[in-house]
Amino acid sequence: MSKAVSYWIAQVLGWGTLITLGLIFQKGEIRSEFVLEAALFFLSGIVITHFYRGIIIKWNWLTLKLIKLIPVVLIASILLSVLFFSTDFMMDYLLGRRPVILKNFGDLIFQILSYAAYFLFWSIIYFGYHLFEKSREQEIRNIQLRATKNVAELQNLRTQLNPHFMFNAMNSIRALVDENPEKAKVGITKLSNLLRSTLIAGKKDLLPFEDELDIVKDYLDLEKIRFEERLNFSFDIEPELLKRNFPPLLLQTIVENAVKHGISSLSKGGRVFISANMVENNMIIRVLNSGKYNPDKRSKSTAIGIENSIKRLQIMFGDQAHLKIGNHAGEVRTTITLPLNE
Amino acid sequence: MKIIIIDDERLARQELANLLSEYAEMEIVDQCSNANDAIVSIEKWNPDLIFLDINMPEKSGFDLLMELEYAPKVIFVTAYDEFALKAFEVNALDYLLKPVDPNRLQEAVNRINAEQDSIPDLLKDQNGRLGMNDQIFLKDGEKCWFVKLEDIRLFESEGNYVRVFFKSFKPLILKSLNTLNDRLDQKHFFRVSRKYIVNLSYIDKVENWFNGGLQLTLKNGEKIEVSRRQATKFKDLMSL
Repeated sequence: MSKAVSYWIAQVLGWGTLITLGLIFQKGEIRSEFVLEAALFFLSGIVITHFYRGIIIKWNWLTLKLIKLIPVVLIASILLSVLFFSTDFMMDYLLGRRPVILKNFGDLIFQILSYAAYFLFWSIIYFGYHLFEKSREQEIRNIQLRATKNVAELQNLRTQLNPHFMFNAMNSIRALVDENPEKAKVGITKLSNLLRSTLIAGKKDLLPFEDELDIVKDYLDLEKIRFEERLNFSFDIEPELLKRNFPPLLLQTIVENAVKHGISSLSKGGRVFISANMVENNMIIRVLNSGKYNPDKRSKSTAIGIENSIKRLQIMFGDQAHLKIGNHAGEVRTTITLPLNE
Repeated sequence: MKIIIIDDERLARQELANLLSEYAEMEIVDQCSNANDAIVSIEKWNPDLIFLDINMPEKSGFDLLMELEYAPKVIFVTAYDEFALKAFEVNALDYLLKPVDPNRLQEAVNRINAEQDSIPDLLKDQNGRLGMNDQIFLKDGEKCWFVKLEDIRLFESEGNYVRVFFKSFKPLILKSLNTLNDRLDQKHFFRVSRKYIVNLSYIDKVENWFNGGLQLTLKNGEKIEVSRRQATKFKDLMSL
């Protein structure tokens, strides 16, 4: 239903109800002149308020602040009421009927104010409707804005391979070419796999958890070439979870942090342990690494990596997903909780 | 030329050693996997040049340099750390990116060789003291410098620290003025009081001051008092 149609329906229904009520509560029997008078009342009501609507639109009263709108509407209602009263009077005169003669000035004022109440009521409905419409439109706009923002943000938050890691890996492989050509070949294959899968994964919203694990394994194998005996890692994954969907490179980001802080910042190195379990309807992934978590000392890039991951989860799963980092039994423990809805 | 390679990754050290084996004049005297070992090794070998990784566990390459008495010639080797390299003023340092491009290494080695030849013998180390061409490594918050001693006009004692004045900068280093004085070349630097060491070539004017002391005006207008005790020595030094 278009706005214009609703407007006319509201006009007819509004004034119609008013007239019907007037006729019902009319004392005595209904005479034909009452009906005529009611019809005139109905028509002039609609004509005058329609003219009023023209003024509202022309002078942009819909954009007025409430504090300015209230006095404007009050004055307009009284003026309209005077206009209505005069029309009524003129109609009676033109139709050759005896106009209602008001006995005194007080009655005149009372009559005008009671008519003004109709117009005030009309204004409340009219402005109320538009105010409601406006807030609803605003809300829709806000939702749309948030949605587009989330899409853009998700694209930004998707991690890419850390260049620091890439160049270090290539440097190690270059050294291996002389020392252990077979190992160097494996390294190049792993690096290509990793590059390819992160490029593909980065374009998706979700991918099977086993694909994510393959990326993490390739990544750790490459870091193992670089850190040698300083890096040890192991997995404990519930097979049930392998086919489940997972936000790409989320675990990769966490494991990268674990290596950066747990291994490369310790002279003796350490271990990374990754576990994934199903608990009730959630997927719980834990990453344990040597070292100590100190939120004040972490670098800017780490802080951004973690914050982005948290934001990503928030956008994708709302309050159902969590990411927590803390110290646990002498190690750093990162826990990701994801809902398994599908 | 004596060289030490410092990097926490064995393969990275190996890779650089392979590349350097092309250069007959480059003698790798030691390889170190962390900053603490490197400090000992540098003091032992007194190398002409070190290849230094910036990101190392526990102590970074910068931390290492700050602990040294003086900075040997340094070529930084790093994978990707624009941020750390930006801390330096333009062209203030040489660095190589991993994996090292042999051509870039050649350029760096050539530059080092050229610098080595251009230093007049007079300015080279004598009696274990630092020459005017020796550089020290300075770090002030996010900014880093390699500064040659000849560019420093003034050292000021500040508690456990010494403030180093050069150009428009005055960073602090964690050293005592006494140990610094022992290492500086007495022909160029003079301890004018408990608080200051002045580079003689920056003195513009000398005036008599109260109690038989002196007041020095440096070329940039800074005024430094010479204590009475040191004034006599200063006059002797200058009259020679």
